[in-house]
Amino acid sequence: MPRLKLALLLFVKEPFSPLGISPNEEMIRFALLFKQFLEATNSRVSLFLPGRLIEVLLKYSPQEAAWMRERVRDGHLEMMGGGFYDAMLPLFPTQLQEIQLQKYRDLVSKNFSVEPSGYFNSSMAWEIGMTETLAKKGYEYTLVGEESLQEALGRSTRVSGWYTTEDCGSVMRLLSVATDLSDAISQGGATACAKFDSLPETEKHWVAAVSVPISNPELLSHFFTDLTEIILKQEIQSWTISHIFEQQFSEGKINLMSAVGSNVGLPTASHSCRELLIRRPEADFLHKSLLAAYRHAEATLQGSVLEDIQNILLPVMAPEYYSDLPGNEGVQSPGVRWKGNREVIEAEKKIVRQTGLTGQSIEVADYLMEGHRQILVNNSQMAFLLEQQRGGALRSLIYKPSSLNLVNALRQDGDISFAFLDHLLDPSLNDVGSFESALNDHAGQLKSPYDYQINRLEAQVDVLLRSEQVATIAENKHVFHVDKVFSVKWGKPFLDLSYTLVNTTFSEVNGYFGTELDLGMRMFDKKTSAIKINGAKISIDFTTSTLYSNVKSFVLKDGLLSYAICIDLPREAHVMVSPVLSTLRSAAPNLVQGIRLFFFWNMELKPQGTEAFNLRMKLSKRGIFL
Amino acid sequence: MKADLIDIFIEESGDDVYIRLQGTLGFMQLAAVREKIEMLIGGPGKFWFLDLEKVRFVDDEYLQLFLNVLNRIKKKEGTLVLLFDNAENIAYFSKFANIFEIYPSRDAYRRSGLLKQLKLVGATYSKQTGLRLSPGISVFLLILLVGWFLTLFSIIQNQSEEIREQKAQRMELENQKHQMVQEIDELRSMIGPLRHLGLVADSATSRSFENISDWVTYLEMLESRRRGN
Repeated sequence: MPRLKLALLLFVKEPFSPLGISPNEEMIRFALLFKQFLEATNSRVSLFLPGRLIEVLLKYSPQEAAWMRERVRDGHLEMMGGGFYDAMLPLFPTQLQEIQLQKYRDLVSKNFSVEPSGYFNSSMAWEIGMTETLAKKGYEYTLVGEESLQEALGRSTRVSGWYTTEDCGSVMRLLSVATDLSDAISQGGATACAKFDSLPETEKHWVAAVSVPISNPELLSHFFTDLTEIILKQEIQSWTISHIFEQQFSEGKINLMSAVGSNVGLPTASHSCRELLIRRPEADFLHKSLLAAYRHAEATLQGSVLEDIQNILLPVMAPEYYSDLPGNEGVQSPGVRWKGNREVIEAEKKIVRQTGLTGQSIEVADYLMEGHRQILVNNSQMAFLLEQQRGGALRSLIYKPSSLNLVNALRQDGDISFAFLDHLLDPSLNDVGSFESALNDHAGQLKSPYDYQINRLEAQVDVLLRSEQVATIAENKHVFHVDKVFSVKWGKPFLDLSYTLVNTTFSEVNGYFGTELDLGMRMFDKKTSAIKINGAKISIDFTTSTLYSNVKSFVLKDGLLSYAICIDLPREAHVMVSPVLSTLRSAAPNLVQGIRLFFFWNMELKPQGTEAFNLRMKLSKRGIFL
Repeated sequence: MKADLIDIFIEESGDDVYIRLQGTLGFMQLAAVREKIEMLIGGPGKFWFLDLEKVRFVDDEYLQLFLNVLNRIKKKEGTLVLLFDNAENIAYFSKFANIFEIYPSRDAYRRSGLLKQLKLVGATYSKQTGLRLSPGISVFLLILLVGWFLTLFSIIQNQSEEIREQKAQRMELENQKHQMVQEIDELRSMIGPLRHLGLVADSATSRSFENISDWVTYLEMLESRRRGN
């Protein structure tokens, strides 16, 4: 029986840290164990470390790094290339792709004296459009999951070896990675041994890409112990991945348009990593914010200043900001969303500082790339994206001093979170459960498109929205003329919102008119968070919804994230406060993703009658509203 | 949804209002552009920078629109500056190149002249209001005037000092002269009797020079003396 030939790629994902703490201890431990593993097995492996981890390795484990450099020279270790921050490159503009690739290439060639020829990213996402960029940066091959090649070839049997694909006159080799084998090696022990035993006999190389769990010291130690045991026990002939191209001929040409990748939280039926942006509006918003910041920087800055901004944006291209995963591995985590938004907001603030402008601007453009325009209003204290085509609701509300996007809740129904999304509800609703159901049903949402006007005044701007809205109450359709005005003072974190509703029909309308805010918050605790209604502190149980009446002011404060919101209601209103809980698969069932506030008023509109409502929102860092 | 036909960006900074339009502007977008621009220039502002670099015009009606905009801004005593640098737009606006102020960028406009720079920093003049200064330029001018006054005052001080010194010197010299005259008088009085006795000849009042009125006479006298000798 011939010895099994295995080309093993070990890769490490940078552990996510909300505060950006460098994984020094983890990398020291990894370097020692990796060295012991290679010495014990004398095997040949390929390795991918994100750029920041290489920098940590060089700083805190210089001896091991020097030893690895020697192993690279004698051909026992191959350094794979990729994005500096292990970015999901297909989602981003070519120039950002090139910066990521070049930065990583410079780091590896400087410190390991080798030019990587293979491209890898931990999410294994691939799109044919990357061919030209990768070829231009000197890459000759990349790894894709076996199932993607099976689908492209229309085969259900195993696909091994490598294929070529071409695009725009450039060629790239695609190497098949045995996903099942990779998973088995990750699990280690008997599972891995059983998998190796079940593999069909072949002269070809098997390729596995295995993630090294560096965050947990015990798991890391187990991982290398198991791997050493497997390689010695199975008498595996190990090779670096680039060796395959010397040993095996091409299996032919293939037209693989895209590979969805692994570990990004997409179902198996998905075809492209772009589906992440469609499935998760929070990831999509972050993506579009990053692109907007990149465009702003490109349009206004040059040279080293532009590079500084690009360097702030590059880490936000990492897969955890776009993967549909819980924990700290994906956008389902409030911490990941908070950090991603924070980085982009910081980049935008720096752009304004560098250009020497006031940052007081209004932009009407297709910010979200949805085929229709939105209005982005900015002052030095706050910014919001107004979707006038979707009921005139705010898609984001950014408080700049705390670098925080407040409209950031991850909704369990996969819907988009908005602020000031208006509803007209049936007057028969009488308990908190029925209100919550009505909001979830979207039955009374006033989501017709608005036409807009921008009125510039002294030290203030008004965005006037005007539309005919249709609502169904008790099976009857009602048509209203709605004027919705957002007023922003330049240089102040204040937002005034006023409504004027005119009943344009000849029938009387009774109901509840209200506006909903889905604010993305972390889990509340009594020490750092507080909610006050009419000046009195209330205790919030974040498992149930609560209804409050005769509300004149509502204050919500979070000392940890340094923000406070005060909403004044000149006309007394009712408010429903309810948690947005995560019930997504594999996520903790009681994970607070945000808080839903629904401010509403009783409305009795005679035929041709008019009603007016308004509210005033103030933001501050410490809860002092001047 | 007329309003949703164009990409537009507005930025305010003091008296400056920067408006950027983007896209291909044809007949379809004309009403929306007119509505938005006229709405925006209705607000506060003095210097209106209209960035058309990323605009492609496919209808001549926009020239009339921008002329109207220029008129409205001028009525408000403001300045309209069109910003673009591409050949297509230069050709499009060539008919009215002398009417519009056209620059490649805001920086280019700021570098374009002292008067404009003065205007930009906040000094404007009109028949109705006279000279109007922004707070920044007022403070600058105040500092300049105070500086001038201080310099003038120091010059006057220096000159007064100099005059005082000269006056003192003059008085000293006059005293000296007075003393010397007195001394001369004393000396004269002392030699007076000797002169009467004919023992002292006054060279200044010598008879040989009595008839000499000029150099020619003097030289002739010398010559006649020599011949006579």
